[in-house]
Amino acid sequence: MRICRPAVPAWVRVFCMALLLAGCAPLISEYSLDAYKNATSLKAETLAMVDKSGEKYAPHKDDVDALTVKISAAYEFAAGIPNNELSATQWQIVRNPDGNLWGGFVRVWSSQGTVSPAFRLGIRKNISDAFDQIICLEVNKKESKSCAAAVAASQ
Amino acid sequence: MSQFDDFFGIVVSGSKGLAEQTLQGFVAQAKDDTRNFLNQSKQQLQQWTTQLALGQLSKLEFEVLVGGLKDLAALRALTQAGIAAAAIQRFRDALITLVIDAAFKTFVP
Repeated sequence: MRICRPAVPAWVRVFCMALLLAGCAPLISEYSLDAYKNATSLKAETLAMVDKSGEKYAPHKDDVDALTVKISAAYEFAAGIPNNELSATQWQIVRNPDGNLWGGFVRVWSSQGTVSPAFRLGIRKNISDAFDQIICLEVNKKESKSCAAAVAASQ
Repeated sequence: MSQFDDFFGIVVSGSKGLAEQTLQGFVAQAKDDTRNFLNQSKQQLQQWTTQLALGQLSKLEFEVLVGGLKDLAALRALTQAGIAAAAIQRFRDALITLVIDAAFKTFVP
């Protein structure tokens, strides 16, 4: 039995293959310098605030609130970029008032009035690691890099 | 052998190199990262449990620190998913370039 093959010119098949590949939606957003700057600068600001949490909360309340607004703005910025759900979710986890990173830190400091040195040390590391994850993902949108290298380059 | 077979051969052999270049190392890096995180988390949990017992951490502080490990695990999973997506996207973009280059090389005199 003869197998019938449609007489499609080679150039048409090539064109279709290229079109098929090029037509796929982006899997992830492009690298954003603004998003990267948000992560690196807010990491520094939040860690500086954690260092002050051995003091009473009340005098720092306005600064803490202002920083919370900045983190929320960074989330909104990330959420507004197409195909950027992964990064936006990361910001949401960091800022979540019921969570255990920036939101958790503010909850402890405000409810206790001050925090213990042991907590300060532990939460500092957790928040630092959290921002490092956001930085690592943003850098990898541009080029493949280990998280350690991505974070080292940001400091 | 037809021109299209030539073209297809160039794309297939080129894509193998592309895959090695853009996708290799990703899985190993994810494994290393996860192993390091688990080791680090174990040490931290031991430390915080001791500090809770000694009264150096309040109950709320302990809860937030331990809960932070769960949040960090979620963040790491998102990072790994993003790194994989970015690597696959780079591979796809390079493959498009390869297909176009191979087509010009094969079909355009």
